[in-house]
Amino acid sequence: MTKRRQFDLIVIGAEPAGFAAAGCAAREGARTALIRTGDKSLREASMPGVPDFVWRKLNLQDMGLDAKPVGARVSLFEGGRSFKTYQSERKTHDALEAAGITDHHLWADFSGQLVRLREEGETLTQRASAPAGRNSAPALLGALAKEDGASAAERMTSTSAALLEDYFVNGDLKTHLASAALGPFGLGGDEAGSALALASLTAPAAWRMRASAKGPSLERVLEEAASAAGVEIIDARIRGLDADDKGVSLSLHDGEGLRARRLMAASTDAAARAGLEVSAAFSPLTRRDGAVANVRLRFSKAPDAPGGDKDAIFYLADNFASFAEARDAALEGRIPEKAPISFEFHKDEIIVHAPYCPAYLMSDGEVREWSEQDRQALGQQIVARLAPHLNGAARSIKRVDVRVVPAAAHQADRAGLTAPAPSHDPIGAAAKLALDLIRGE
Amino acid sequence: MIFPADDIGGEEPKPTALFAATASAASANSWTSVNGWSVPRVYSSVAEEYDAARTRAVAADFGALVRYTVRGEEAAAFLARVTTAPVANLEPGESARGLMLDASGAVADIIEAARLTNELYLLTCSRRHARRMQLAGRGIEAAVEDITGRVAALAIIGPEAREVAAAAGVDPTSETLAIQTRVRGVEASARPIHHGALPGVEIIYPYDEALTLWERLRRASAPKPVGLDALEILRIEGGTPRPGADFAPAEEARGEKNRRRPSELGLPHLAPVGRAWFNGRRALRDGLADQRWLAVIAIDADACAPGAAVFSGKNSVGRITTCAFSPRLKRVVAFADVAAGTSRKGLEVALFGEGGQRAAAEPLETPEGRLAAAFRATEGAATESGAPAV
Amino acid sequence: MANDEGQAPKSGGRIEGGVDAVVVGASFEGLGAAAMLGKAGLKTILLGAGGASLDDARREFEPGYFCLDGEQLVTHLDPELISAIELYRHGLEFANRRLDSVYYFADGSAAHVDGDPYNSREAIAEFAPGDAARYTEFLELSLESARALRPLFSGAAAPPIAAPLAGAAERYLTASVEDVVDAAFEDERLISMLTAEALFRGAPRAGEAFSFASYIRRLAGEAAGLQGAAAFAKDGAHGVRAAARRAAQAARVDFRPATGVTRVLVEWDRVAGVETSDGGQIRAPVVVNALDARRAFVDLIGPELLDIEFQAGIESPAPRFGEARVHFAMNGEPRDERTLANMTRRLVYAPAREEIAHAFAAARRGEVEGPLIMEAIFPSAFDPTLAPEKACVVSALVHPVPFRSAADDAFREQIAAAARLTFERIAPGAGARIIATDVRIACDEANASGAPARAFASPPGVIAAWARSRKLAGAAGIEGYFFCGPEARIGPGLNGAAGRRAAQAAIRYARQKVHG
Repeated sequence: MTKRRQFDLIVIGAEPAGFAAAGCAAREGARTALIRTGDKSLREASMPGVPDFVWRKLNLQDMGLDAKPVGARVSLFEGGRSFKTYQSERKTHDALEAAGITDHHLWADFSGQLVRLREEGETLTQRASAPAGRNSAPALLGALAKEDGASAAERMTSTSAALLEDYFVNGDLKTHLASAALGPFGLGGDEAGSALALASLTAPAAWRMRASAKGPSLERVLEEAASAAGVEIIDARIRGLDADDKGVSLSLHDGEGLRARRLMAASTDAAARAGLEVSAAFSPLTRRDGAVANVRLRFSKAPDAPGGDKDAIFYLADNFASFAEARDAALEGRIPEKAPISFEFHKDEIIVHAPYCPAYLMSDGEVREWSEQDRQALGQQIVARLAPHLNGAARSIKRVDVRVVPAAAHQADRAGLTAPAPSHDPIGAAAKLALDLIRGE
Repeated sequence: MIFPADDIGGEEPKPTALFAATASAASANSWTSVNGWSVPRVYSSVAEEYDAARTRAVAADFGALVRYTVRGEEAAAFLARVTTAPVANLEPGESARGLMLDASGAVADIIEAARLTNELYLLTCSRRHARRMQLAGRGIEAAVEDITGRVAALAIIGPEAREVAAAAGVDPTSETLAIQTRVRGVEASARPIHHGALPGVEIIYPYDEALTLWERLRRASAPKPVGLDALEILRIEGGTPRPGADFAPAEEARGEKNRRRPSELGLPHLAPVGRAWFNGRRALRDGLADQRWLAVIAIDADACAPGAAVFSGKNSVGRITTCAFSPRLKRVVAFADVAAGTSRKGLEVALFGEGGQRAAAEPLETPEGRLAAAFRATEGAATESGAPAV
Repeated sequence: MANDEGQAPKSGGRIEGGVDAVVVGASFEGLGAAAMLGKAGLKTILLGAGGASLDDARREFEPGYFCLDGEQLVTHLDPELISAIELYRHGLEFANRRLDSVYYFADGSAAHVDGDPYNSREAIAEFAPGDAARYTEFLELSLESARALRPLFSGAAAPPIAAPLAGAAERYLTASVEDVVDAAFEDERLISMLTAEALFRGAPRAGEAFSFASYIRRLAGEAAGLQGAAAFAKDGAHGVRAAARRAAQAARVDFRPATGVTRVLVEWDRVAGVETSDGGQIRAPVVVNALDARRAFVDLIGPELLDIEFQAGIESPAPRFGEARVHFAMNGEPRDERTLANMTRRLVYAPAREEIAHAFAAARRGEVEGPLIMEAIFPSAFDPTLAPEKACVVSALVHPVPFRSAADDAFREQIAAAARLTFERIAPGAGARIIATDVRIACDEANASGAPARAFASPPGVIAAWARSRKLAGAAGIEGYFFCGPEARIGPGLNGAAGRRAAQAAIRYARQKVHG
């Protein structure tokens, strides 16, 4: 006899975004549960930033979280060139000026425009990702009907490529911004609405953070905060889900059943890992295809970071066109040759993030899954690309671990499961979605 | 020229070219940041500086203002497009005030354009407009350069400004001041300016020579240095609004309601719709009535704070945006952003929160207001809002 | 170049007055606008080249084989324009008002779908029975949304939509093709059919946001008064334009195709007339410009008289894809019976998912690799004089083809090869009978009509195109200036709505000036 427990909100995904979302919902008074499906999430060196409202809601200052922002974003180019931007706009401006890049004059205006674009985009995607059947007027049609509807529509459909081309001349700057903005989503830069990827870089919590070696990890702190808020954390694998008008029923592998008014995943990745279908949340940044590769390079001796900045995020991308090239290759089932990648240093490891990987490989017209050989080949390719920048440290690589996970969750019309739109601020997005679901009855 | 609102945010401001000179004179040690540059608020005392400005002459470091040089065949066309200033009629050495509007007619900035030589113009703005300059230059043969960090700008303000400037080597008798000359061996350009009701001279010279000219000036006639606070009193008494404080510039205003048109700011004379074309002119011709009125008022009180509510009778009609105590009038002078059509009589300002004590206030006549009234009279344009001619 | 104070005419040029409206550019939009203005009683002059020469509709691309250049199938002819200038009376004819479509799939199968979208359910039920119920629901919702959003597709303001439909309409406007189609259906062939129709001739790709709106637009189109139909116009685009020309002539529009326009005169933010290439001036209070936006605003008026923000909106990035029309001369009829039976229908090759991804990826790189999305018809089946006895002409549009403003033979050969490959999927064995292939791309159309090649690029997605169209229709706030160039269109294909709207606004303006 299966006992069904009833909740207001169930969150799937034991990752920082999931804990934050569940914790915020619980603080609002909802009976919340979080399901830990046991799939290992990708190993990361840096953690997503935590927005202010989550901080306040969960009282994170009392939890001993010791984290500081990532030092800088560094793009490495051939010939030893590097390009850095910082969290402080002024510092970035000065660095650009020092490098003799005339585009620095436009940096302030560019950021201002991106901020306005982000605020507009947030209202649109937020409304749309909430479940259907709400009374609020549709966001897009409402925006179009206003007097400046044409300008709003233009901004909504603008592409990253057009925006960057219009402002800047310097190729390195454009490539660097694209690495930071488009890379995490696997976009090519020429999709309609991809300017939102650039815009969401300006969110305060978009700058990632690094936990100190001694303190607890963000995930642990958020888990504690969620428990303290009253979230029930359930370890179980999900067998199936059933959605109807009143809510969602989850059946777990151990035979237990759960029932919730609302169900959400911490991110599309979490849904993909749990193998569940997700209701299409509108966002120009949503990815329908492809996989992300996470490569861990373990060294016998801790490698030096180029430029000495050990807690920066590094990007490798040849030029702006390589993003579209890599995206197309991934869609066609090929492993792109010079796909944009990002990497970070973590103790004696380098963790590489390669978002432009195909979900399935096509060879000679045959579709096949990733094999161990393919993963090893990818690992070697990445090592070869990193080697010139590591100053000989590549020789002391002990192990190369490659994991390829699907980036996109199955989309279905009425799946009963929603996930927040992809964003540079995943914790904020998940928490906002949770609060929306709780309040929106 | 008008300083924009102080910067919000914790970035450390940079020193201007004249910082070394002015820092030694700034005994009160009260500084603020404008456009990322350090600007002293008070040197010795506000009352002394104000008095000196009104009776003799004072020197101000204007290095925080943004300056662009515009060169090329179509430089005049470029400026005519971007600003409302009557650039086409300027002779070398003359300067003119104007506004920068966006396509919907909202004010983005208050600027001054000066013609230095036949094909070289100097545009002084209170904020940076890099994107606007980039877009405006498309299709027009003009080269625009931001020279803010490369020059030192010294303004001498007051009734004796010209005499003092003569001591610095600028010819006081010329109608249009010297344009680009060597002033006592230093490459400089000078132009006449106004700050509030007071005339003045602004001298711009290369960064490296910053201290040379300052020293010469100090030895010759030693004008008192004046800080931002004293300039504020003069500005409010003069009637010119401050971008960022008294109104939100077009690019930063959130929402239609926060944008202001020239006549709503009391500056219709700076955007003459009936003369040459400028960006945003078509929007202004749609004849929409003013929604707001930026009034200059004198309050019977000793102190006030921005954000205080303004009442007309029982109703709250707006808020104070900037204010300062005027030693001359012995009252607080302030800008108030109120609804258009508010009656001129019977205004009151809340002093300590809503429901607190109120002080009587009345509109103040300012030179800017007189210019606006004269303009309205000649243009014959009767604004339907009923915003009274000051 | 600023012209605020009026200007003395050049010596030798005369100033012409007494004209109520000047239309610049003889494209279909321009002709339609001119006809409407003339019919409203305004004395109208039509200036400037624009639109291909109307002399000969046919072109002999191979001895004995003729083809019609330009559009042949019409899907979106603006019904208001047709009735306003009585195009039927002036010779607009359709050889077939609603062609049935036959879709060919990667696995070699084909499906005959009725030309009326309502009746497509039967065909879907046959070849994709598992998706039949979902398709019916999807079709109803799509058709309702299409009808509700129709004003949007002709450039009008976004219409208010009642609550229950609004959610679906919004979802269809914002979602990508993959979002809607992949999520709703399972049958791969149905998916490729809908994807092909949605992506055909537009710039967006299958996974791009806002791309499904193109499919909704397709359903909203009315060609010969029938919603969602593809009609075969007699003599193709030439025939339609010729009818528009006759309508304009009947409305007593003064045609001056040889005269070009060098400048539009603007005085005090109001249009005063145009300056012509022969040095004269034509003074008129209304100017309707059907040229492309760059010429219409930046060249003819000048940046010093344009708002900065407006001009920024005109400069758009280089287009990604362009048009390619391929004609085949076949020296015999197709061998297989299936094609023989379908010669009077619209044949569409709907590539499989990987084929589409591959084609778009190649096009982005600047190459053409088939099979592509193809829409083919046999014009010789409707008009036997186009080919010798027992022979045929095939006219096919292929997509996506990279955009090039100038092309060489190697590029054309690539297109021809890809087109032949694709046509082989439609009519197996037909390749052996093809004796000549003629390729016509954007730069060819540009050379023929005098418009820049960009005017023939694939238009952006519906929402982006709508935003651009609304912005340009404001004509920078210059009174009396109206714009109906290629950037005012929303979506590919011969339309006429932009010209109609510009003419209506011009007539309103002219009337209001008279009544004051």
